[in-house]
Amino acid sequence: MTLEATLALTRGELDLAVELTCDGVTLVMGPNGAGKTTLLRALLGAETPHRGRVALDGTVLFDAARGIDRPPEERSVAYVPQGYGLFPHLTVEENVRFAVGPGPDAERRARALTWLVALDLEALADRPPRALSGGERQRVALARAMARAPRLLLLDEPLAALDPTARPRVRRFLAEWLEDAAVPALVVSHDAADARAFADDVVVLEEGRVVQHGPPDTLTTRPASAFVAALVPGLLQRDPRSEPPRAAYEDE
Amino acid sequence: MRLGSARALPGLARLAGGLLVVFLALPPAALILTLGAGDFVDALEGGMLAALALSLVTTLLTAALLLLLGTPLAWWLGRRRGRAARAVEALVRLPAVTPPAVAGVALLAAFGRGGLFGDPLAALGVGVPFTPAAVVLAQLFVAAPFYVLPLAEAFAELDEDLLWTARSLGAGPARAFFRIALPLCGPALLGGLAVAWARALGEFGATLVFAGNLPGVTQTLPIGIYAAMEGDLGPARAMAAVLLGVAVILFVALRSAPVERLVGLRR
Repeated sequence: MTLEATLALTRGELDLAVELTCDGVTLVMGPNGAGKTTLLRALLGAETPHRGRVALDGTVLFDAARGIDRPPEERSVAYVPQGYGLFPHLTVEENVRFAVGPGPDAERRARALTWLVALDLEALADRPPRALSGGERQRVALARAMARAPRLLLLDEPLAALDPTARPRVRRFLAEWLEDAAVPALVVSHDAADARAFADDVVVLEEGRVVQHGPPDTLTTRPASAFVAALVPGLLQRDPRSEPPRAAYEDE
Repeated sequence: MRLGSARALPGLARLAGGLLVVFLALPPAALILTLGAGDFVDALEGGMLAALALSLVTTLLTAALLLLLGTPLAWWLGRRRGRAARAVEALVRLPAVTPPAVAGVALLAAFGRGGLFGDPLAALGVGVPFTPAAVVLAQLFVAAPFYVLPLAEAFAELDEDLLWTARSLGAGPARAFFRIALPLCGPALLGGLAVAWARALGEFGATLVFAGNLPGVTQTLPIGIYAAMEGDLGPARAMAAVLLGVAVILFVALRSAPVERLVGLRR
């Protein structure tokens, strides 16, 4: 599955113009205001670029020149916003069931439960989101995203809402999960540790432009900007607890 | 003494607050305490049931119109930030600061004989003033801000990411609205509806000017009280007590579990 996106849009101070081809797990990094979240929202269809084209494996989701702009619900793009976006008035199970396609209620419930079991959440099925820990919320958000059988995942700062002590463990979980999910993903992050843990590629955005795009290794050898250079020590740091076996990615 | 808690209130301030509580409690208590059974008999003979029925039917229609017309308007107002939205918001707020008698005259100027739309409507055989329809229009005019504005504020504070997440999970705009936005704004919706309904139920000035005081046609319970006042205070007291009871019951019922379940606030 390949995402090809060329898009340009202006929102307030931000002038975003990017061209991307992504496979696997792509980490989107950059300073605040660089346009990371806006990029995800444009791919989702929450923002309309004034020019450009977005295609998933050849299926056109957006094409300004041809007047194509498929609404978010028809894009098969799962969006997990910062803070996970769980619906606070629904239980964990109802949150996941919301994403399950049409069908008899009992069947939809069963399918939701399958996803809860897959992420070890069945014990929490009847809890409201506010009764969950940060890591549990993230797992519910991931279960819900997968229940829609998406063709692209957009995760905005999936670890930022966690307290620092929980972060390495949840990062490890997320790394394994992204590998199992086998769905291309764009993950916005501030943390070089995420790049080490699960990124096939890193895209660095600055002031709405892609300044560097490549595997984490190429960033450390040839940093393209001061921002990237500042990331290098973090990218090189060895942290066995959050480091999944490198070979797993080289197989793909 | 912890600052910020009710205990931090000095004695004099507590006395001041207590005085207001007593003053607010006194009139309703007096109304109930001075009631006699004979008052009700007189009130029933004075057409209280017809007035009560008219009040209930017209306010029910007003509430339905608010839900149907006010909810989309509140959504639009809440989700837009532009100059047009601010201008419309000011317009919606206007009835809340308009004296009811002024609202009645303005409604006559719009729909009455010789009014802006009165003559074209009359040519079509539709006469609005001094009909039950005029009662509903007067209520809708004065009550609309109390429903629309709090709901618009709640829609504005709604986390937009929740709606986009719902869309990304396959929900069309309608499903995202009814399953996510509306339940999350349910307290504001019910609260606004309760206040607007109470305002419509108590509507007097605009109704009297625009719809008149025709027993069985436009005489709502508040106007019935006014008509009864010309004689003895007894029947007016009985009608007032009934109106108060209806208002309290409506207010409580709108926040009750079955109603909350209806809008998805509870399961």
